[in-house]
Amino acid sequence: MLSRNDLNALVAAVAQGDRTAFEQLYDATRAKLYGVVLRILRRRELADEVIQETYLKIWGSAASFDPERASAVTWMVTIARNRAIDLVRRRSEASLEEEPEAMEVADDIPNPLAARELSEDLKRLMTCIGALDEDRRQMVLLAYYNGLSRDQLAVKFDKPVNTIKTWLRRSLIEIRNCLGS
Amino acid sequence: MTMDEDREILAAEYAFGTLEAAERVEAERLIGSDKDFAARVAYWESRLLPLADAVDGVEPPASVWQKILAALPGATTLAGTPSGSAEIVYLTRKVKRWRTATYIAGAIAASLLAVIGVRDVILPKPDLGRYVAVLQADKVSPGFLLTVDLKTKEFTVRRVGADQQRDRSYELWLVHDKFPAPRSLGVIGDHEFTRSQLAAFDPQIINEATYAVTVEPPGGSPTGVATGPIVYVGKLIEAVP
Repeated sequence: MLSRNDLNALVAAVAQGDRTAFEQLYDATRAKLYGVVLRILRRRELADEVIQETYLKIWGSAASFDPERASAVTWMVTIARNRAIDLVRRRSEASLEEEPEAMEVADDIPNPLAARELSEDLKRLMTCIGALDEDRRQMVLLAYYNGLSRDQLAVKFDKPVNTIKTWLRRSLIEIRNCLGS
Repeated sequence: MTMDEDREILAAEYAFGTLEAAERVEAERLIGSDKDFAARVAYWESRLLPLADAVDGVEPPASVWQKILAALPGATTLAGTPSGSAEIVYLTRKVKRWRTATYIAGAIAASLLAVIGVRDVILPKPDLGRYVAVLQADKVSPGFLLTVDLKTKEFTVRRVGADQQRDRSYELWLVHDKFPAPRSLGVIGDHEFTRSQLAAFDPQIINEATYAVTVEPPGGSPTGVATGPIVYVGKLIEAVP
């Protein structure tokens, strides 16, 4: 894995239209981004599409990337996740019932504490998420990893949407207070 | 707290991904118009990122990269950016080498034909390797480079010297005397791309054919028959690795 500085340098080169740098950036990050969007989309053909859009967006907006505000990986993962979530929202509003399998894999959440490298940031975040009640911890991780909406979380936890809304609200505030803004 | 709690939750939920479609649109509007809100979204995005480290990487299929490349604005590498001009020098050198090879191959073929005195020489079966054709307007004006992999029957087209067309499209054709009319291989644009439309053809035909580029109405010939003038033409030669 390339260092944070390496990736920032690659994005800066991509902003200049450097295709070799773009390919290196793709090679260094494609598996991670694909893994993230595949969990949310569940379908390879959709993941293929989102990853293409994501890298084209990266190519097109590399000049606006600001390393002071976020790391290159945060920036890239965020673009990919947002595209994936926008796509599932558009689809699920049209056909949630037609895709019952969309709810199936939901129990399988990666265990962040089993990550190969437990960075300081991840330890801190997991300490804060770990302080939540069991249900809410699950809910927060499902929301992040599988891209579930409040409606989908309500189905999953068999609770009214308003309850989920309250849970989310309290959980997010607790996490923020724990992390410090 | 510098902003009200609802906004904070909206920012956090946007980053988590729990908003419904309409709320996401609203959040995106705020990101564009409200700096404080955008900063809160950025805060949450960067704080949540470590979670993504726990996701197992999955290799995307190779076709994804091909499609990304094909969709890149092709003019970028040719527009005179530092890497672009280096690439052009490299390509020009390659083209020169190929052109010499074409010339020699052509001369050898011509002299062979003269000696044997027949038109229908039985050529040895082509090796299943990589072939290249420089599609050119005249001896010094290469327009496109065509690379063919006979194993996968995929071809790649790269614009080299051809002008960008505004209201017309370039279309690539396979010309072979076994076919009464040229067969379209599709519209070729400014981007390098790979396609597999050669799958229907016999390797011998792919190898012997002449490849021609015509100028057609936008999106290609409406009839499937070439209507415009041939602007670039070439034949395959074996690419020396």
